[in-house]
Amino acid sequence: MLSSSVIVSLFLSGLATGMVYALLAGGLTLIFGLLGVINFAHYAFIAVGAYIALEVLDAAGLNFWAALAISLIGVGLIGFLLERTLISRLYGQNPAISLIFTFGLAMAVVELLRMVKGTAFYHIAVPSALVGGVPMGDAAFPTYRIFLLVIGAVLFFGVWAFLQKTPTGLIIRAALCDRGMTRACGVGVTTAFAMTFSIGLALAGIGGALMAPMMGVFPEMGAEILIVCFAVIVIGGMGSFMGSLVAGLICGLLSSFITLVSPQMAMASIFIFMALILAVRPIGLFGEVGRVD
Amino acid sequence: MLTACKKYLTNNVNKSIVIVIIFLAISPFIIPKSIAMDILIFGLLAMSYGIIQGHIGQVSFGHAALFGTGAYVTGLLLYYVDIPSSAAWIFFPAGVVGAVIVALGMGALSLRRRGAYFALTNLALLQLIYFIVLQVKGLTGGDDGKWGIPAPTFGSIPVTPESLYYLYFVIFLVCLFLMKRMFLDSPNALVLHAIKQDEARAESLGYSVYREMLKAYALSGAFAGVAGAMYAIQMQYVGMSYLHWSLNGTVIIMAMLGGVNVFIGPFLGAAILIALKDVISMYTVHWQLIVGILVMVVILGLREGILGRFKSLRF
Repeated sequence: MLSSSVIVSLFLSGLATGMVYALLAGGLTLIFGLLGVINFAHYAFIAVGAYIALEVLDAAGLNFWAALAISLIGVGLIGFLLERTLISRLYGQNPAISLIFTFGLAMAVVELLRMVKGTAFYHIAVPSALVGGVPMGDAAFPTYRIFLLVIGAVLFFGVWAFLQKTPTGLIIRAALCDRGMTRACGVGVTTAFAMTFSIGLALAGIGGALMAPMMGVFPEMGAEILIVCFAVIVIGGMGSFMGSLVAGLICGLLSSFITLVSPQMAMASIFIFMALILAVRPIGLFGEVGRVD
Repeated sequence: MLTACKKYLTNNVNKSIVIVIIFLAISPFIIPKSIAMDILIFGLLAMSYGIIQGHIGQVSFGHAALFGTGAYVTGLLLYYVDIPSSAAWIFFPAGVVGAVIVALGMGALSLRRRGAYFALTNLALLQLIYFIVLQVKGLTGGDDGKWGIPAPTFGSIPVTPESLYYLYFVIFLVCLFLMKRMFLDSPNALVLHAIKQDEARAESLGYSVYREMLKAYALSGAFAGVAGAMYAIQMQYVGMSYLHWSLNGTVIIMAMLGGVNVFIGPFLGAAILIALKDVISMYTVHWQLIVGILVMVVILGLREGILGRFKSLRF
């Protein structure tokens, strides 16, 4: 018989994983919704974020919190520059073409990481404040996962508040609805576009830094999770920010509870779920007909 | 006879096909044999993908599932079923049938949407198949794959790399002419091109867009399955890399490099990429950096691919 503590800890760990999915998928869906670009290079920048955190910790000797902040800002800046130089050339094309372009970009960036840092596996220690676990019945739930859940929620709602409450957020939302009309109203959308890509990539960067203490740092660390995130945005409805949160949490919980029955099927279950959603509701849970295709 | 040949060669598309055939016929003598084999197999795979991007007009990120299914079905049947080795060739078409069945399933789900959704749905379905194959360890060998797949023979004569190459060459020719017949010279091809230009109008003329696309997707799966079955027999191995998403990227790059709107474009792209990889990796292990940059350059600067510049070759 399952004890309630097992169920609670499965639930929490599912939520924590789901929150990471939501963060990464949220960035992807924002970029796709506004720019019409499917950013395959997200996975490369997950690794870039983790390597920045590693450098900040090892070479600069700063603490974990500084590492998180610098990986967020650093990857965000890279995103801003990339949008201005390369990504902006892809606008107006079939989104699938951008998928291949960013696939090439990812190949190049990952190979650059290999050239600079080698293929070695680096470890980042969990900061001392977050070591250990919260007692829960006869077992303990890792504190770091609870931290992950909290900081994920803070970041996600931070971006949401930015989109809802600030003037730049208003421009981004207006451009999401109708780019041409926003321009016609005399509002410059160029910076808003660059900001969007930058925010999406920054989420990937800090996501990588947050994942690092659990999975280590290596050039291909973001690959598997990115594919899951693609499934998440298809389930949530492409272009829907809130959809990526709901779908991310559902997928996290699903894989967590399937682990109980069959650990091997945890990953596959997400894709089976996606196939089911596509069969009954091809536009995804929160997708809007005709908005993006 | 001579005049018939001359007439055939007035057409630039036919000329390009003849060049490919001549190249493949002599390539084992002019380039390393393993590379000639790779060009043949991956050239076929890239051409099968060309059907999806060139004729259906969509980008798919799940093509490795069709290749992998062909390889796994043929490879595992050869591995497990005890049958005289000269009769084992019957497992070759079994892989093709497997790939067609998977293609019908994937196409039925993914063709309900276009563009980004189509690409990502295919990717996710590929990933589903990947994880299932990974988990059924007892049958597929999981992460290690299956080594030592027994090669079929011709009666009592064992298969040499040369005889296998020329057998594949013949199969390739059959596939090439079937593809040409189905996607260049048939009324069906015209329907597909009409759909590519304007789906709503084609639908209003009474064509079932979904059915036509699914048919093309399944045929693409058949040719990808042929390539997969070829590869499994040639390598005497099946493994997870056949189903890995990065293989899709490579195949799409091949097709776009040569040009997806040209019949032999994907083949040329495959040949160039394989040769390039071979040459670059002699100098540096970081060939992915160069291929990655090449991809970006092709998409930004050479949208129609290398052969796409020649109008007379495009369909």
